[in-house]
Amino acid sequence: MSDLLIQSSHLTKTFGHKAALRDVTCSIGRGRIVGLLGPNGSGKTTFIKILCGLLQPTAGTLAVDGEPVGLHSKAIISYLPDRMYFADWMKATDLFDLFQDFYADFDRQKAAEMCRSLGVEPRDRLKTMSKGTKEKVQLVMVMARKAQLYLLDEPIAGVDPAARDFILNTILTNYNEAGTVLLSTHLISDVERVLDEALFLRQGEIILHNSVDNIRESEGKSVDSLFREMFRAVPMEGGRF
Amino acid sequence: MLRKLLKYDFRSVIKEFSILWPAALVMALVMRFTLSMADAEILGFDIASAIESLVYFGILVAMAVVTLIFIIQRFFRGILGEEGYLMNTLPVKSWQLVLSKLISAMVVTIFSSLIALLSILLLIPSSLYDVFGVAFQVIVDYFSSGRPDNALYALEFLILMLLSVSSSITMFYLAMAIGHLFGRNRIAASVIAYIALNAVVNALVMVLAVAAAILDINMDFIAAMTAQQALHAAFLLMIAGCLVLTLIYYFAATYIIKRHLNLE
Repeated sequence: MSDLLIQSSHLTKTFGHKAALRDVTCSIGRGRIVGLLGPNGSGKTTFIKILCGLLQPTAGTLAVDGEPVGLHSKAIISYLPDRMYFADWMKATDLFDLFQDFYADFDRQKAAEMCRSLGVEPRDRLKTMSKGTKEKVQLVMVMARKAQLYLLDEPIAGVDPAARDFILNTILTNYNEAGTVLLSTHLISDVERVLDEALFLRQGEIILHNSVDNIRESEGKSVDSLFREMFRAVPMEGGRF
Repeated sequence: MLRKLLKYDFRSVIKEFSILWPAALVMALVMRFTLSMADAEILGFDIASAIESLVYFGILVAMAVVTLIFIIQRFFRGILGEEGYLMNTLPVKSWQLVLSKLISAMVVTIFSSLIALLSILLLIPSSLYDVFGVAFQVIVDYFSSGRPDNALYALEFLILMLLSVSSSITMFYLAMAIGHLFGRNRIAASVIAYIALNAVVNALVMVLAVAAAILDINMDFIAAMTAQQALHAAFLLMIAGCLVLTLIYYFAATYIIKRHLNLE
């Protein structure tokens, strides 16, 4: 077991001529809740997908738990994508079976309990569920694992503010405390209270990586205000866009 | 792990075909009944038989189209599409993902073909007892003809059928994997890749034939063969060809998914 959970060195990803990640070097330890923060298109999803093995980096190296992305990293990562990944024919119980078969750290009983408390009927066809209910099912699948690394891509982007707190609380009360949560979002004020570390991405580059306490102390302001300051869109002079 | 993957691929097969397969057989039985009525009472013999051939043909085409779409979609959506977010993050190897899809696709093809064949037998306007009796008798006669080569031909034919199915399916897989290498218009790129693969294979066969002619390879050994030996040789040659193509397509598709997967 490596001390550092994620070690990224000069990681670069280009799509055609456009760079989505440039020379990203960082390391993240265990037992942390890390915010991957940046505006839309700053490379948050790209970084998470490379960690999962869904995208291949153009250059640079990446290790998860001391090993390159592969069978080991996939066994210890619990990933919540920014979209639905179900097959049409599946019921939530089919997903339970699948996770039980493939992930040793999946707790089926916990998943069933979470479904009950979230008001989801696991024997319904996923295809017939509302968008919000499907999202809940995916959240249940991800949080019912006792994973080393949770990669949550925009878990609160599409929901109303009341549901945001609900989702964050579900994450906080269910994650494996020995593991690390990497959570991407552009809604900083909602997540700031739960973060240990913040990682700011701009146009594919890391511009800040520090603990939330250090940021507050050295900058004298909240992560949210710092974020707004750093990413303020400058309106064009003359008032016409 | 492969066994576990197969479990879910077969679940999707059952959900897709558990209604369609029985429905095809029931439809064939209904058709058989209505056609025999029409034959006797209203229509002239020629019209009835024309309708029958049309129905035979329709069932074959429908079954082939549904099977083909299923096979392509299970790979395109299941590995390279949104479901890929689930399947490609499972702790399994790429070759297992592809092999599981291939095995389930082959089983679907075999079952669909058998159901289509059975539907056609059901449509033949004689008593079912006669139809299946004759079919059974043909098979029994073939194997008890006293010619020992017959069993071997049947085995070679069966292997050739399986390998030609596997090479066709893996060719689709490789075409989709190549299409996936393109940033956009991946469907169009897959179609073009499929056409190009076909062209390359045809060209290679031509080149081999022309090369054999130019190099003036001594073909006397073919003339020296008995008819049985020549037929076995032809079977083995085709089996070897399909096997080589299957292996190339399969490993190339797996390599692309392992090294160049880019789900955007």
